[in-house]
Amino acid sequence: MKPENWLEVIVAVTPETTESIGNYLFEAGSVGIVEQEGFLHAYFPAHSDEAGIKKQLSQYLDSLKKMGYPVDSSSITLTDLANQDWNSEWKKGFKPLWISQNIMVKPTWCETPANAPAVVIAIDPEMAFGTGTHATTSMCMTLMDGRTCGKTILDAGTGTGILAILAAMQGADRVWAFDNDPVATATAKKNAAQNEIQQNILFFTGTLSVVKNSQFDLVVANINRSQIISMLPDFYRLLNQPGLFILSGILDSEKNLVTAALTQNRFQITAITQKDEWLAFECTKQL
Amino acid sequence: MAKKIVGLIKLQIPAGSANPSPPVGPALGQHGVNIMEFCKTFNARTQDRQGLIIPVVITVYADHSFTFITKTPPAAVLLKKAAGIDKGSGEPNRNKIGQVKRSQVREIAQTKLEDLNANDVEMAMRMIEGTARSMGIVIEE
Repeated sequence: MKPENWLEVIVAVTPETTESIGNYLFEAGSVGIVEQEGFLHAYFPAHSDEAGIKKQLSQYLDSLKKMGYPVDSSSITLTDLANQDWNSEWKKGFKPLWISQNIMVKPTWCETPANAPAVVIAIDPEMAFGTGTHATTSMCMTLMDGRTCGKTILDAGTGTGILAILAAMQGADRVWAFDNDPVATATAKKNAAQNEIQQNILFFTGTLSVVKNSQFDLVVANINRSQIISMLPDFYRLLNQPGLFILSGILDSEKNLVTAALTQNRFQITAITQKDEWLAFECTKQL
Repeated sequence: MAKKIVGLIKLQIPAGSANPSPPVGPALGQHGVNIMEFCKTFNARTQDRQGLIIPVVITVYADHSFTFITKTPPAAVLLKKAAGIDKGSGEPNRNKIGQVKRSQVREIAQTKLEDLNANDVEMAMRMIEGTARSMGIVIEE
């Protein structure tokens, strides 16, 4: 997939004008702003009207100047910014990581350590979520460990594909994994190929609505609370009886809300684990 | 012992939908922060404020770990809501596009007080009024 490029608009601000100029930039189509040492750096998709943005922003600054605000319309600079693997600096510190006695995650660019366990998952996260370093991923992996052999698995919000790959490497019969971000799905496919397990996993970009008539023995969803709650009726429909439903991405402050939603949707909670501020739930399906 | 701070990053991004593209990617990536882990946590903490722009201050430590605090929505956003308008004026010196009551300014100032460099509500109100004027919003007495 061709990476998207960006337009960076930099403009000088003062404490009096930061709010209004920031607001103006969002209204002009900026997707986000960095405040840095008296300047706002606003980012626009590369297909934006570069000349139009500059002209209208200059007019706005001139208007503020006439009202007595300390602004300088000559301070505007526009720069093209090529998309890249922004995680590359972090990746330098990504080392092989033990998830449990049986599972290790390692970067694709590192050798497998001599003392590695049977399951070693090689991951290049690129710009997707799921390296095993985050509490929610490691909790899901620990809960899945040794429970996927011969089973059918659905991974909702697969990110790097790490959970789907674990399931397949531990002998799952069939694994389906999806993400609404095509960049993540592409990364997951590459990671599955890197682990030589791609033939066992069906990755697709989309939502649960695509999964109509299949049933799964284990559903895992590491997304967030509002997404999970909205999908609970579908998860119930797709899970075999009694099945195993593992979910994470839940903050500890959301425990009661999620517990109530699971109960209302006829899931029985069999375990809740916590790491840092994050929770993972393990449930079965009740009739 | 407290961890050594190596960077403070101030962003404004939409609630619940942080992603590794700019501004998050380049701003955090240069400090070696795991961008996707920031996005995961930010989105989880702000998922109930979808549709709002959220200012966030991220503290980055020498070991590449991070903490962050989210702030109240920008005054400009609260002013537009109070005035019942979608956009500020592109020429605020000539085109006035809405009005807010002083009581609404006070309410916004109270909401924003903890995040503003103001000693009291009166000072915060003057800052909010300045932002309102620069958006073409008139303060009603």
